[in-house]
Amino acid sequence: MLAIGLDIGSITTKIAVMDGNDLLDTNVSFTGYNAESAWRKILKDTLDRLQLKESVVDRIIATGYGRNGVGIADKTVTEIKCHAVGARFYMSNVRSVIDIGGQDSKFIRIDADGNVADFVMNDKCAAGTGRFLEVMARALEVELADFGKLSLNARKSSAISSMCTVFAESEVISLISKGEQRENIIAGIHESIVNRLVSMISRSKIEEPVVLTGGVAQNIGIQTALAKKLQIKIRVPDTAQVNGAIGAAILAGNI
Amino acid sequence: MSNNTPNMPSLFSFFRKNPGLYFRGMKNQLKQGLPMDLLTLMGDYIKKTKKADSSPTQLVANFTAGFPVEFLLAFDVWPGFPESSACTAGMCEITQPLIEHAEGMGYSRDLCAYMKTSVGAFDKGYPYDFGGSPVADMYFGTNGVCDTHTKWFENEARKHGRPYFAMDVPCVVSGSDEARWAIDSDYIVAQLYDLITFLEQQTGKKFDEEKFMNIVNKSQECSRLYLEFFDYRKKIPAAEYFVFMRVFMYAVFAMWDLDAGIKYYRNVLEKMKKRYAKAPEKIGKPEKYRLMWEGITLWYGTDFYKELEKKGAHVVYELYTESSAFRRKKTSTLDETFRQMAKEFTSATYILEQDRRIPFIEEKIKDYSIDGLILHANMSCRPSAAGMQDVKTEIEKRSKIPVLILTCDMIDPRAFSEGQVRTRIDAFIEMMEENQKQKQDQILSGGTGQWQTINR
Ligand code: SF4
Repeated sequence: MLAIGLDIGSITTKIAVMDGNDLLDTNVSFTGYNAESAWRKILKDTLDRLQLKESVVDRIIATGYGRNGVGIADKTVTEIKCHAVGARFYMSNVRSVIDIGGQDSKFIRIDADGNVADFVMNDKCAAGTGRFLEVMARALEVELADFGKLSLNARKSSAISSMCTVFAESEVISLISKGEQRENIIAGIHESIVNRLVSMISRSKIEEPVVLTGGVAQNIGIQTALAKKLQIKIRVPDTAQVNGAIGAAILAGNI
Repeated sequence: MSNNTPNMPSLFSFFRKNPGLYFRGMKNQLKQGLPMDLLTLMGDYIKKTKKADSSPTQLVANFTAGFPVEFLLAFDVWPGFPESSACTAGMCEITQPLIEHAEGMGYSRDLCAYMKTSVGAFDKGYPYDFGGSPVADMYFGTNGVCDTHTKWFENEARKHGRPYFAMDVPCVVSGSDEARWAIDSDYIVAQLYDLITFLEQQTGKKFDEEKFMNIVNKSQECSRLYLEFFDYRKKIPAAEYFVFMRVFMYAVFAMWDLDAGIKYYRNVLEKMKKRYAKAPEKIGKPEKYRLMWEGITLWYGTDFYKELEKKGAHVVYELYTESSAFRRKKTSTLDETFRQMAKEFTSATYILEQDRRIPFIEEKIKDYSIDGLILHANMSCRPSAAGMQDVKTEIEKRSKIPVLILTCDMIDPRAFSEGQVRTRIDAFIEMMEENQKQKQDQILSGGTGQWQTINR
């Protein structure tokens, strides 16, 4: 059974191809203005890379914000369920998933049977998500990919208190003009994201093992700050960014 | 309207100035798919309010939710209800510019959007059908439901130079005992006597106890019939859903014509009796998921509720609509009526303190065979949004159903992010689906006996 999961996020589109229980390939591209051309292209590129034709694909499940726009999907499933399933693929006894995506972050509690028991998401505000980090990286003129490593060299974390991404950006700019070290500012940014995440998570109940997923999960600074604040061990799969797409592909194989 | 203030603008002059808005409003009203008799009933209130406003002899009052309208009726004062007009604007989906207009007048983003819609609509000269309300001869507010009411109407009365009567309802906190109740009750009853004096002064009429009791009897009958309808919502499939109920409650809430209200509810009940006498498969749409909603409706959310229904999820019970019926107990003397009113002001479903709110919800979940609970954390209404997290945690534990907190606003569409809401709703439905599957499996495998039986 050749199954595909397509996760159309606000910033990136992800794909996972599975043959039975084997993960054949994953891929990530920017969603951009036209989500349809983004998923069509990533689907084609990935199948080409695998030297497969679209006609051999048995099932497709679409997830993410753009899930309803994937006309060829056999079904749509929410990113909540897909992330839960994807995390179980990585760690079968996972009980909590923290996913930090482009414009939303979510916490998913999984019961002993592997079902979603509860979920909470950020509301009305993109602070504490990937988009927030992107804006800050631009203000600091740092590559987003270097954010994590740089923050590990911080001597302290600067206080970032604004709730709003735009105001937080001005706060960062004023810290720069005061001569605050870039590393400290980055550590402060991570801390502010983590504080928001933790207050969101507190609305539910975190249980171990905990898996961190989403595009922001690879950021070592966030991983460290989150583990410290929650006082727990956090696991990050190599496939963190495509975890939702993997979950969708697994579900597609099981329809 | 007896005083020399300008009347409300007519619908025609509004239409001439804003044809686009007019058509949009009408279209959105109609897409709710409400039955003709209900639309006529709602239209009757609007028509009569306008008539009262333009009459040189008819006294008009504006009152807030929770105020005992029977007193106004006993003095032949027309009950104007600006909140209902704001709700109408919500159904028309035209509130955003009105709210923004009020914010431009200095009202904060965090304040109640009913108030801002009403203030904005008045200032922009919108008619009653589109959120406006007449300048009343007198204003009546109570903090029984929320403190916004008393300040909102105090401000309106001051702005228009009109007399204002505010009724103070003590807040009942968890753990209050009977002795506390008795003190609160005496305090409220004393204010009801003050209210009579106030109305006597304003109208120049003497209080007619017999007439008042007659009106109270009718309002009790109206409430009784209205609540009887809820029995048909317990049935599967339920008699009606939220989009219907939020307008169905108008007659029992605004009480402008109790005879018409009683007649209408009787007719509807008669129809229900016939409908439910039929074979179950002929009664109505299949219900995959029966939902309970706590908090105010999304007035602009007709499409939202329709989309839920397309997914097989129907809101079959709301505390909000049930709490709109007062005068639930028969009374025969004035003192008994006043004491009963005092009891009702302090214990309306909408304002139940957590100790009683949670078991109340738990009981309704059983009564209405509920599969999932949506808690509307209403950005502009603190009384209805407070304590949602505790309700969620407790109900999930006690009733073993998924509970979703949805942060939106009742009539401010700026607080409704479609993509975000859709993801939450879809995930909530997935959880209900899973829950049903588990229950089914338990039943098939003999079960542990801890789940309720699925009867559909
Ligand atoms: S919506 Fe809430 S805050 Fe506004 S008037 Fe009603 S009870 Fe008060």
